[in-house]
Amino acid sequence: MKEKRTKQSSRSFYTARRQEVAAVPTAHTFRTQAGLSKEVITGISEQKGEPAWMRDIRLAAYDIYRSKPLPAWGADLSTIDFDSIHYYVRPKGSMSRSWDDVPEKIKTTFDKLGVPQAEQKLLAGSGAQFESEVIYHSLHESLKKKGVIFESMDEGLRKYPDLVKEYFGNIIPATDNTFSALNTAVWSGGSFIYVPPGVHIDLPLQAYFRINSENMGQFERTLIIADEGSSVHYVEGCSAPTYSSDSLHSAVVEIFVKRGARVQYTTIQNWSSNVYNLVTKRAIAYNDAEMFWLDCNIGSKVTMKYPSIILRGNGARGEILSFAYAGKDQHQDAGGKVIHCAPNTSSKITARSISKDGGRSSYRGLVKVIKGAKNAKTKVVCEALLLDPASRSDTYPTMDIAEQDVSVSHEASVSSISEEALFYLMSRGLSEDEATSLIVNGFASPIVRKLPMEYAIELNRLLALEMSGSIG
Amino acid sequence: MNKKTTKKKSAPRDEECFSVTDLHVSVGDTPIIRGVTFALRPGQIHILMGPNGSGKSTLLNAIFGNPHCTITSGTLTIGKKDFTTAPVHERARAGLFLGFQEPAEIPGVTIGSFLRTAKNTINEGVPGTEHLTPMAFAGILKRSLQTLDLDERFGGRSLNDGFSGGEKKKNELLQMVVLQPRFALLDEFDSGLDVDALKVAVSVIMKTAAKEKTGFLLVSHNPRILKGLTPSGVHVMAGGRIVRTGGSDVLKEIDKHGYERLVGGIL
Repeated sequence: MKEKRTKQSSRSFYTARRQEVAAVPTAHTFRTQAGLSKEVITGISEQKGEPAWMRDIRLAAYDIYRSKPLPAWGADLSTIDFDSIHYYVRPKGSMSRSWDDVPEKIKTTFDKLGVPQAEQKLLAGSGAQFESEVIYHSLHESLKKKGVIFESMDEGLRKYPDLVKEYFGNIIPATDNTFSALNTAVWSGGSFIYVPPGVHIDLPLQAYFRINSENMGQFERTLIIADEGSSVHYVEGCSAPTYSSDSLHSAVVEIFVKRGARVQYTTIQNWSSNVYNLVTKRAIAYNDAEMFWLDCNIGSKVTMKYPSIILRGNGARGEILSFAYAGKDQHQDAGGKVIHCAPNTSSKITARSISKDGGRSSYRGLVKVIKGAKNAKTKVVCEALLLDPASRSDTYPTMDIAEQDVSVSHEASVSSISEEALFYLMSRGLSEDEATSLIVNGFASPIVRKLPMEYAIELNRLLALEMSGSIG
Repeated sequence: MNKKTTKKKSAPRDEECFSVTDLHVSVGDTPIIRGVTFALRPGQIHILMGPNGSGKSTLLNAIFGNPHCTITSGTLTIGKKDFTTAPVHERARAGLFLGFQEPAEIPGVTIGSFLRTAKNTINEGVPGTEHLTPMAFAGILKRSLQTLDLDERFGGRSLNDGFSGGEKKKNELLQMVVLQPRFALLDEFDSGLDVDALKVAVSVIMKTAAKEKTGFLLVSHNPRILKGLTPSGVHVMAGGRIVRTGGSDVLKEIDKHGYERLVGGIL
């Protein structure tokens, strides 16, 4: 019975956009009034019963948020109606450790998305967030025994307040940008992960985020601490049903990669086309540590997201693989940032984007090498594929190199699907759609290959869906 | 070789000819092919020769519906089925195969996964065949690679991406062997192949014609490398027309005297 369910639902894990998983009406026990005020923030804090210091951090962040304008660069954010958004929606039911205890209606939604099933064989642990709260969380016993912590951020704050206090907002302070200020003020949910020294988590930890109601803001906050010589791979996926009005997703993710540790953070972002996705993600890598962002953006109306790595220690390495698909009415403003602050550090940014049906994708990146970061190496390669003349691709690379003894390279290219390639594939029996889809998959393959198998299959399937029935 | 064909069940289909009748083709506003007629029977090997610029490649591209070539008059048929105006992929599904002189490079798409997709697409129209799982297809691919003396890892490489001239030609033959077309048109299949590879290629073509009853039209401008083949017919093209049709004697003549004597008046 369970086997069967796994098979059936894994099909629609990320392809949920076309064969959309509709919003099952679900009850919520608490929802802040639309719009944002000090009262709303105090209300969230009270609901959570959190310590006063966190409430004070929220209120201070709110003031910072009020003082900051929206970014004047990047995507158009002028259409977001901040006053109609509910900044906190608590779904009915409390957090469960067993999938059976999750309320039926929420379970139905996640079942259709195939989320809990993926856990059994392929994951070391998983969490699921519905609206503002994490409603399900689990971690393999063996990892608990080794001292691994994998909790919702709220639970992390309750159980490990000292750890949270030490690291929270250290890499991304509220003052960093408008949306980091907003997130700090109203954050709810997200993951809190601590991996003790020398512990390697072989299978990925997964978190799944779902926005189910209209005019909703989701502001998860994730904090990952990989202690010395440890390793962890965190995978996040997300989806939402389409509504006529827009929702806002604005997360903050901070990652500490201690000496000799390795963290991979994989995102498969498939928000529906009414979600503004404005996310700040940053990692700091100490001596000989390695940080790897694998960032796939397929969905959303607008995404502005540039996963960043601060190479803080000697010999630290960073890699960012950014993949974006922009279809009709979509603007993917993605990329990455690396700051070399120490000698012998190396980084690589690979960005690939596909634009179709008037969609727009931008690569926006920064590589900075400070004076004294001798023998730093960095390589940036951006490739864009435009499927029709109505679509658009832009590249905004910034190189800020203050050290002489460095190796820096940057390549960028834009291409379209050649008639020659189409004719060749069609001469083998493939229709124009099939041929296009194959070429697109080939273009995406350097990124897709790095995904865990299940996700790679889903991403290819999703791209095939996006390509079908739309050429000619 | 894979025996999963339905030749016995559909005997009449086996005897159908591929016919080109009074074909006229323009590229842009320029007429290139000016009335070409020939027929290819199953299992036959025909050779089309001619000097550079005589229209050989244009003819093959037009037969396959290349958008750069406009058929201004004439017909293309297999048996009674006319595909003069059919989309490119339907020509392949009807059983035609084009071996490209300069195949396109498709980065990131492995030969194996591409060929399985193509094979399954073509099989959809062939009665008695079934959809091949990756496992079932792996067997077919392995045998086909062995037939062509190719390393097993070849199937995992990106389609023509960074291939040498010889590798590209071997890859075209590999696709022909896997897809089992009814009629294969190979453009300059010999160029870029070394002596040993050419021997393998010729033997594969001979066997495929004999066993699978595939009809071949081999295009070349070098009469010597075709020596290992025993063609049913040799055609010489010049100025967009077939100016001479014969047997192996034509090859010998070209080898001895060049094209000048055969087509001099037309050039």
